Formats: sequence, C-alpha cells, structure tokens
Amino acid sequence: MIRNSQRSSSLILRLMASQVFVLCVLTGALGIYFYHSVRSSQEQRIETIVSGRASYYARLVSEMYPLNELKERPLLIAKMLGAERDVLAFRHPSGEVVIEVNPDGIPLPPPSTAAASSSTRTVTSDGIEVYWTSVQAKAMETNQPIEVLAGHPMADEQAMLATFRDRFLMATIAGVIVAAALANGLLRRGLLPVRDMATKAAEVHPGQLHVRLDVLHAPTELRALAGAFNAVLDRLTDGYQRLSQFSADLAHEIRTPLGILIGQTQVTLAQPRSLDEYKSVLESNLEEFEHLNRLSENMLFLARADEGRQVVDKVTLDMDRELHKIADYFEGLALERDMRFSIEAAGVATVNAELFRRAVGNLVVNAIRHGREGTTVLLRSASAADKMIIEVENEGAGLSPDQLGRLFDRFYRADPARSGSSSSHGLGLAIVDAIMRLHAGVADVSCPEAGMIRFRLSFPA
Amino acid sequence: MAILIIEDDPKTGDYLRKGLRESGYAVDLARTGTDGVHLAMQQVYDLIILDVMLPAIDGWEIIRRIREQHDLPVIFLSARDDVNDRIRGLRLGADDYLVKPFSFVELELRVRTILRRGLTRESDVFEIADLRLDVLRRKVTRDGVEIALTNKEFMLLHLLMKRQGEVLSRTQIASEVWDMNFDSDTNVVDVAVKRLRAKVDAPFGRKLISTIRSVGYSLSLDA
Repeated sequence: MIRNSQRSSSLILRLMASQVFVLCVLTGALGIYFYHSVRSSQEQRIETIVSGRASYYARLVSEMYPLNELKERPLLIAKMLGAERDVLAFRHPSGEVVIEVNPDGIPLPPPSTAAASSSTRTVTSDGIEVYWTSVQAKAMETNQPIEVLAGHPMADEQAMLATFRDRFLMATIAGVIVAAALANGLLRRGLLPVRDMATKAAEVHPGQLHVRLDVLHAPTELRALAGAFNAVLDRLTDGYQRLSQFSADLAHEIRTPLGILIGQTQVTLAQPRSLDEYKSVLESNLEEFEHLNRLSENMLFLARADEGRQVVDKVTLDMDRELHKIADYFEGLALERDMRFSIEAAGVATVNAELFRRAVGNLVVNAIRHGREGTTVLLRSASAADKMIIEVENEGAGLSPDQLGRLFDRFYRADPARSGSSSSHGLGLAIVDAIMRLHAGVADVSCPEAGMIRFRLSFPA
Repeated sequence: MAILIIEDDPKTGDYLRKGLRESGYAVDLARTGTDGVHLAMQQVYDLIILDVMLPAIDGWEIIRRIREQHDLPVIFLSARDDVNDRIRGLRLGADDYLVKPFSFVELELRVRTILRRGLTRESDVFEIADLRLDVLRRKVTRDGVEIALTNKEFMLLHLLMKRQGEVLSRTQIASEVWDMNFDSDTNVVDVAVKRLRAKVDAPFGRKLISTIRSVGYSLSLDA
C-alpha cells in the first residue's frame, strides 16, 4: 500500500528531503564561516607583513641609507624582501618611481596623498588581488618626501582558498549522499512498524474479523492510529455480526409463513374438498401473504432509513393533542389487557406527523404487549433545553442491561416464547429507532426502577 | 362504468380484470402501451388503471398522450415506491398512486372512491334494518332502544353506515376514524369492531356487521 502510493507523497522521501535540506544548510553555513575566517586571518597576516615591511623600508630610507645608495643596491632590497612575487617601490610625490622591485610588473596604485601611512587594494588583469601599504617618509640627506610602497599579490592565498572551497564542496556533496543513504536506510527501518501494521490490516476480511493491531507495542506516534483502527474494526465486526444475524432472522421470518402456505396448500390439494374448505384455506393464505407483505414493507422502510435518503416533511404538532390521539387509538387494545393510559403532556415538537405517530404507536403497542396486565402505561412529553422528549413507561418483567441494549435490534425479542405471534415480527422497535434517526433524534430505553421499562424519544427542537 | 387497464404483467392484468369485472365494471385490458393508447382513443372510459413501468412506451408518455385527447381519471400502479415518482405521477395528473404489491381490496376501494367522487351525499340520518344513526343528535337506536356509544364507536358506526354494503379495510377504518395512517401491525380495528358489535349486534337477533376475513368489515343486511 505504502509503496503503491505516489512517490511525491512518500513519507520516507519527504523525511529524507528535509534531512538533506537541514544538512545542506548546516554544512553550507559552516563552510561559508570557515572560508571567511581563513580568508580574514590570511588578510590580517598579510597586512601585518606588508605594513611592517613598508615601515621598515621607510625607516631604512630616512635613517640609514640615502636614497641613491639604495638605488644602486637593488639586490639588497630584493634579497631582503625574501618573497619572490612581492613588490617594493620608492616613489616621489610627483609619481616618479625611484626604485621598483616588481618581478611580475604589477601596475602600482596611484600615489597616495594621505597622511603617514595608508592601505589599499588593487586587482590585476589576471584577477589577482594585491594588497598595498604606503608609508610617507623623508629621504636621508636630501630631506625630500618619499613614498615607500609595499605590495603583496594574494595569488597563493587565493589559490589556497579556492582549493579549500572546492574540497569543502566535494566533501559536502559526498556527505549529503552518504547522509541521504543512511537516512533512507534508517527511516525504512524506523517505519517498519507501519509496514507491519499494513500487513496485519491486510489480513482483515469477513472471515477474519478478529484480527487487531498491536497497540501496546506500536510506536507512540502510531498508537492513536492503531487504536482508532481497532475501534473501527470493533464497530465493523459488531455491525457485520448484526447483519449476518439479521439475514438469518429475516430468512427465518420469511420461511415460517412460506412453510405454512406450502404445507396447507399441499394438504388442501391432496383431495377434493368442499367450497367452504377451499375458501377457508384461501383466507388463511391471504393472512400469511399479508404478513409477508407487511414484513417486506417494514424491511424496505428500514433499508431506506439506513440509506438516509428519505425526505422527512416536518410540521409542528401539539404534544398533548397527539398523545391523547394515540392513546385514543390504542385504548381498545389496552382495555383487552385491562390496562389504562396516563398522559402528562406539554409543549410542541417539529416532526413528521405520520412517522411520529408510528414511532410512539409502536412504543405504545410494545408497552401493551409486554406490560403487566391491569397496570397503567405512562405517556409523557416535556421540552428540555434544545429537544423534545417523549417517554413511554410501563410496568413489566425486568430486563437485563444486555437485553435492554438489544431491544432496538431488528428481530430481537427479549422473550423468545413470544416469537410465534404472527402480528409482530420483531421490527417494531427497530422502526422506532430508524424513525428517530430520520429525525436526527435518539431513541433509548432504561429501567428507572425494578420492574419498570422506560422508552425515551428525544427529538431535536 | 368502463375501466381500461394497461398492464404488461399477465398475471396482474388477469386478476385485475377478473376482480373488477366481478365488482360490476366493464373492463378492457391492454397488455402493451401502444394497445392502451389505441384503445383509449377509440373507446370512452371512466377510468384508466395504468402500470407506470411498461416496455416501449412508459406510463408517463401514455398519460401525456391520452390526456391530449380526454380528461379522465387515472390510477398509477408502480413497483417503485419512490417519492420522486409519486410526486411526478401526481403532478402529471394521476388521481391516485398505488405501490405494488397492493391489495386488490385497496385498489377496488380507490376505484370506487374516484368514480363516486363528487356524488358523495352526506346525510344526517342513516338507517339499515332497525338500526338508526342520527348524526346531528349523536344518537343511535336499534329497535327503538337507545345504544350508548363512545365517541370513537360512534364514528366507526357512522363510517360503516355511510358506506353500507361496502367492504372497508382495516387501514381505511384506522385512517378515517382515528386519523392513523400507518400499519401498526395490531388488531386495534378488530378490537374496536368487536366492542361495537357487543353493543350494536350482540343484544339483538339480526347481525349487521360482518367480517370479511383478511379483508375488512362491512355493514349490510346479509351479514
């Protein structure tokens, strides 16, 4: 999976690129720093030598040798200079050069008019920098002003710096390559847990839903991801199991009426019968067909609600009126079991009228079916902060938390003995739940006290 | 009353024709859209029952062509319970829209309602045999004896008497008496009819309310 993704979005490449970038910036900055510090210490050294030399000759010409004597002994000067390429010149303020030692014939800078001593730089046509110091002196005997000019071409220093720069660049490039290769290897190793996770995740399929990622041994950064992934798997597993259970239940629910239909039709056809008998079989068949029909309609309703595409037209209903109307409708049914309704209603709710009646109606039917005979079913409505709450409460056999949690499941029956009842097929509460989802509301059930069951519908206001 | 059925499914077409003929209508059956349009142009019908999903020309096209010539009521049949389809059908002028599978009784009821539309006559007093219901006085007597009914029992009896001789389905009764338009999978209507019978029929010799099993109830002399 990771390999197949686009190269530009590879985590390793991105991390490598940033590492190499950091490395380049760092070594580049170091290189520039060292280059400049070498260069400036070189310059300082040259400056000391050249200015020392200029002062030395200035003293020589003003205190020890007359200018003419120096002129006649150029070798003395050349020898004393030592360095072969350096320049030394004695110049009148007029610009006339008296003595010049200049093996490379470097052009002298223009005469300096400044005070005692000054420095300057020139660049030759070959691109070599020359460092100059000039010192003003008075020639011995003649007392003429004379400029002593010492120069040093930086050829060697420049060559050295260039070599230094080139080597540094080479070393940097080599370093970057080595670092990138190392980083690649290390990152691949470091990201191995990701690949392991992918391998593990790839094992998940409908038959292998129990596979989970190892959260404890996952690197800290991946723990949240592994945890979230496992949670997704938990929910999927739960949903998948419910779905399989649901399919099995559905098949069973369809098989029962089909069995009756096939069986009784076969028996009827086995021998000639009276018209009344045929009629009664057809009527009985019709009942089963209608049962199947209702089942398919309810299934379709649930499927549509799951898709969430169903359009819900809402109107504002007065709760007192609605709850009384619903109670009115089911009154006869309740009386059959000697049950009564008690209504405490207030407020209004914005709901789809038909779906609202169906949801509350299903809860009321549930209460009448499962409530204890001779008790009262409580219908209550109240508006809370931002929602409208409808409660249907009845006395009945206590249910375990596990049973309560499954009441809204399709085909779930807390009391398996009742599964034979043909009028209900265990979808009533699932439909209530679906209706609430369509209203962006919530249906829940609780046991406020032993032997009491309270269903609560919360509609958003 | 003449009805034209346009339906391509052979079994559905056959039972609709048979059922409606037995209910006393003159029925023609067209098995393709083209035949249907042809028949509708040639003959005079009071009502068309039209399957929306037909091969070649679909129901929408058929209703458009027929409406160019005659303005007559149409009931749409559709296998798809899609809100958009329903809206489209009703906008095109369908008088009713039934989703398959529908019960034949339901269809027959709707046919009767449409054909009778405009002729319904509200009466203040209904009588059948020795049973008398006075709407204004809210009073029911049988054989001169006053029968005390609850509000809903009175509405139920009123409905049965208003439509005496007709079979009323449970859904229809729930809708008209309690304004409950959903199938609650319960026997609320049966319980209510049972209680009404206990008051209206049981104490007297002749039974007037009859059960048509799996279909509904009717009030008539030959119960």
